[in-house]
Amino acid sequence: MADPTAPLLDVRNLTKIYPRRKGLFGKGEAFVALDGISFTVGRGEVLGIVGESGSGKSTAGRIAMDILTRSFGQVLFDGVDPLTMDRVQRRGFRRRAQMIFQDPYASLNPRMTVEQLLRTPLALHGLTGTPAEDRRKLVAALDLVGLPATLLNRYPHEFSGGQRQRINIARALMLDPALVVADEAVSALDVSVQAQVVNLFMDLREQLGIAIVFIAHDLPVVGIISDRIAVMYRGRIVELGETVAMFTRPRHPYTAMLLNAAPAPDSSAASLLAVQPVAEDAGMAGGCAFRPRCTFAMPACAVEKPPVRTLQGGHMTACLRDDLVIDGPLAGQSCC
Amino acid sequence: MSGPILSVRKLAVTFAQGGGPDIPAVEGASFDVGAGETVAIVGESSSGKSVTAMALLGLLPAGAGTVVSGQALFRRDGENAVDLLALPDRAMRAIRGRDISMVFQDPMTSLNPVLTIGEQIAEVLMTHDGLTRRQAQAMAIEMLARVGLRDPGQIVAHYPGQLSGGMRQRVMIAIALACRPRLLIADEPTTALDVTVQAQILALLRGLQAEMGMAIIFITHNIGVVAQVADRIVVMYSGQVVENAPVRDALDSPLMPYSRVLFRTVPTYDAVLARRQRLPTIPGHVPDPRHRPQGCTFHPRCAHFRPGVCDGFRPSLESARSGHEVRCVRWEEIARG
Repeated sequence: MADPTAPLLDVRNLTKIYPRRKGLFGKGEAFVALDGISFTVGRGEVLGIVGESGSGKSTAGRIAMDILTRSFGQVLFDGVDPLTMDRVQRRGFRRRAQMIFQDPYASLNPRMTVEQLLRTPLALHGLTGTPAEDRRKLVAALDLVGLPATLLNRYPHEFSGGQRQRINIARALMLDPALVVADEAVSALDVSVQAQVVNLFMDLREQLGIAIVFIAHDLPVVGIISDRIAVMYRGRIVELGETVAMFTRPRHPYTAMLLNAAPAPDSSAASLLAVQPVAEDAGMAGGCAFRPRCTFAMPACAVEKPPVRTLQGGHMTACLRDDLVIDGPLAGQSCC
Repeated sequence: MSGPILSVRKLAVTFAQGGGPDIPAVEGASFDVGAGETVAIVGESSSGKSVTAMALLGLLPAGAGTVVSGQALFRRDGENAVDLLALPDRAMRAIRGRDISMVFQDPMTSLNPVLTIGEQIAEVLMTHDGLTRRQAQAMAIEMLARVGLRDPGQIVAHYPGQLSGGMRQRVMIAIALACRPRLLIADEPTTALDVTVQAQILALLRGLQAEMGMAIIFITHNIGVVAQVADRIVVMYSGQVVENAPVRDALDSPLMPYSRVLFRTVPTYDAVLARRQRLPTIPGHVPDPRHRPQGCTFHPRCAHFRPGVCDGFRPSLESARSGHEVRCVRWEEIARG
């Protein structure tokens, strides 16, 4: 068993490169989807990952779950890399690390009842017990996600989007996971349903001690649920730190822009104007990738990729400018 | 401002279902849109907000068991009002795209993949404004520049598949605004976009609206977006308008119990500060349109439900204070606390 004080998930220098060819036989430059990212998730911790589409946030989640291959880097789950695991360890990893996807409609087999859907993971992992034991587990999992046991014989089409997402979560819980990676798991839901499912994730962490990687693009939602947040831009983590600290004083101009752009009912209309257009020049070599959209860019930003600086409290930022003081939406409201 | 440019009265839409009971998607929606005003229609799934938009645009399939009733009086400058719901297809087609235009959520399915961007904008201008092909092409380039696209002269020659989601949505807006409509109906126009792109598109719509003086019906489930763009909010729940008020009034002091709790379920930055506190939720779920509850359709989920008061008859939309309408028989008691 691994060191209980060590992080549950430790991702180091993860890189994903897609070779890209021009034409059928031509050569082309490679597309770097992940550019050496590192982060950890502690036991029972919630780490949020935010970023625009194409930032690499889903890629990071999928590689951490070992359902997508990596080009370089290490993924350590309880100190062991899935790539070096033997069959038994691998089976344990597949059981203890579960993933929940965005689309609750596409991720449930329409021809299986809720009972069959929830029993399948038990059967796949050879964990089937007596019928009475299994039934207790099923009912317990449904109860955790707030669904009554009377629904066991129903089919997915009989449920709303929010209920289906609860079934997905219940199915992940059947295997008693230590880590759940939720990729845009509440994005497709109506506001009031989204609030219910966000609360459910908070319950899972508190009642079962499950660690969660919560990947989403909605900053207020990520902020509510996450202890720490990693902000990704073009395949890199540009800022990583505790939620309240980040929302009070973002250290990277990109984080500040995202916070400005995410409309919360309590944010003002004026904040819309501060957002810079998306640069289309993706192939820009060298320097900070955010530079063309950054109001604080200086000549040095074009020269080298900004190294990661570690600040007080383990807060990390990949911005050359150490002189910036940017107010986030929580500035003046929190202690720190 | 001289009267609303659109007055919707008792709009009802029913879809017939083979065999089963009819589905009353919209049950008597009434609201006004002033000239140059942005009205946000807010609601969750099956609230009827998108069906309302489709009905106003005359885009619901005629026949096939769809019944649209009520009135939607649309006033163009200095002309008599026309009832959009009673217009023959031909007359509606002349209005749609010229006086009233629309932007939908998914620009990829709304654009024709085998026509260039330039051809698609030019088509609108040639159809409605009678421009020649050459004039229309020049105008298309101007419109693309207006919506903030760089190198419009090159983009006209591109196909939709060659553009990013944000660029495609800008193209949709360029097409929608090409004929300087009096009213733009935008159904979740930024829902599929990144927050930064969303912010740009919203700022763009605001700017163009100020410049061209058009009214906007903005359909969304995103209360944060509403706070930034709308002058007025119309809240819909299970096919009915349940609250209609100026945006700050509605968000700061909503009267209908549904809006009161709906607005609070939205994650705010303040909620981020309250670490580990649960978000407020609404118990139960939106009723199946075929089996809506008796009385107020929200009563089974309402914290202020009174037996015999709320479950007898459907409350009507009443005027609570100036410009603020609410559908709840108990709103006064509830407001007093």
